[in-house]
Order: sequence, then C-alpha cells, then structure tokens
Amino acid sequence: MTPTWHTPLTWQVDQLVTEADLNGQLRDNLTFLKDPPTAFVRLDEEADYTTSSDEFVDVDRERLALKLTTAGGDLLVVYFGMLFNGFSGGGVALDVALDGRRVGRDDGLLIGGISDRSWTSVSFTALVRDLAAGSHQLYLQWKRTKQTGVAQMLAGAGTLNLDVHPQFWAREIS
Amino acid sequence: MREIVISNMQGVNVEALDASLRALPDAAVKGISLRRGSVIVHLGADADDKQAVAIRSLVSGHDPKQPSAAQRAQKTREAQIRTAHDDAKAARQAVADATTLTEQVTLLTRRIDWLEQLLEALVAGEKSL
Repeated sequence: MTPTWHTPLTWQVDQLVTEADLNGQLRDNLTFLKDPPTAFVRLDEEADYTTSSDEFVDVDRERLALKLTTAGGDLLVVYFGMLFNGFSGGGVALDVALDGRRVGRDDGLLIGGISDRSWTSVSFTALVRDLAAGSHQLYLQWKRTKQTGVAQMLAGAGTLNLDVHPQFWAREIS
Repeated sequence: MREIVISNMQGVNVEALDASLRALPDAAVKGISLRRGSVIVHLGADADDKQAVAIRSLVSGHDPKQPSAAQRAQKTREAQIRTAHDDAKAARQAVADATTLTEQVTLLTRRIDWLEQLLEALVAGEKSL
C-alpha cells in the first residue's frame, strides 16, 4: 500500500530530527515516490466490446474503471488498444470520465481515424493537471463519430489473430 | 443519460437492433453497446418507464438473422456490382472477338459501367468488393 505523502519540511540549523521526521520525510516519501498511487487494468475478457452510441458512454463500467487515492498533483492517464470501424467515413472517439467529468471535453481526447471495416491500434497519454488530493474514479468512454454503423474494441477475448490485451491505467506523477 | 441492461443475449445484430430501436416512437435512443453478453441501450435522461418497457420487449424479440434496411441495401449493391463485374469479364473476351466497331463500343460501354459502379462503391467505403 502506498504510504501517505508528507509535505517536505524546511530544515533549520540545530533542529532536532526525530524518528517521526525521518520516517515521514525519508521513508514514507521515498516509498511514495517509488510506488506512487496507480490504478491499472489489463483486459482479458470473454468477448470484445461493441457500441453504436452517438454520445460518450462507458466502454465497461465494471472492468474499464480505475479508482485511486492521490496526494494531489498531476495524474497521467494512459490507454492503448485496437479499435474497429464498421462504417464509412467516420471514426471512433475516446475520452475518460474523471469523477463524472470528461477530461477531453467536446469531442473527446482523440478520434481514431480508422479505415472502413478495419482494425487499427489507438492510444492516448493524457495529463490531468493539478488534481485535488483524494479518491478519484475514472472510466474509459467512447462513441462513434458518424451516425451509422458500429465501433468495436478488442478485449483479449480470443478473437482469431486479434487476441490482444489493451491496457488502461492512471498514475500520479507529481 | 439513462441505460437499460438486458443480460444473456446471444448473437446480436448490432446494426439491425440499433436501427429498430431508433425507429421506436419517442424512444430517444442514443445507441446500444455490447458487454459480456449483455445489451446496453443508451437513452436520453428524459426517457420514461413506458419507453423502457417497449425497448425491453423489442430487444428480447430481436432476431440477429434479420438484416436492417441498410444491410439489405448493402447486399443488393454488392450483388449488383458482382453481376456487373461478371458482365465486364465476359465483355473483355467478347471485345477481342468483336468484328464491328459498333459491337466493340457496346461491349466497352459495359466495362465502363462496371468500373463506374466499382468507383462509386470504393468512394462509399466498400473496399471489400
């Protein structure tokens, strides 16, 4: 378990350094830096995901969900995987809902410009600045960008020659 | 947004089910998703219980073998292009065998017709043809 982060002290001349100071300022903070708050999902499902939604919806509220408690600061959010575009001229948009608000806003963090009826690898690395300390919940969201057809996401479900395992994770980095 | 989850669905034709749901009066369907054998119907927040009942009923009676209108139109288009392709292949040999200019022009016109259809299909994204 990641220890609590202690705001670094400014040391004074002749200040008595106590056991609590050393454990908090050195042990706990170094341990925190070595193992910062992280939430990680690697998909290994029994079926891939599909959507025809025109609005952002959770890909999988049970599995593609991250929960972590941060000390306050910047949060790195990462996804990589493979998406399928089953319609002409459109794309697949991805975003992350963080505590109920989408990080990318508007049309999301990215739109995968995928050739029609093709699979392609898609990824994003998003930085959320100055996130308040506390417990946070993140969900991967998606939608299609044209009002026809379907979008699909591989989920390590044993699909022939397409059995890849996407990752979705977040880590506090400052 | 409101969601209706229908579990234990086998073999879903997403395009057809999506089209049927959107055709329901006042349903305000935003789309559907598949997760672990469940169909999730995404609705506007103002959808009421009466609409939810109609949606559940439609999803429960879904037959994945029934294509949507768009899927039927796609199949028809594919069949037309294959027929035109066969005609054009036959015309290629016939052009070589044709003895008059009129015959040759007629046969070449058929080949151009097929090329035109193929181009239209490619522009529409039907690259699998």
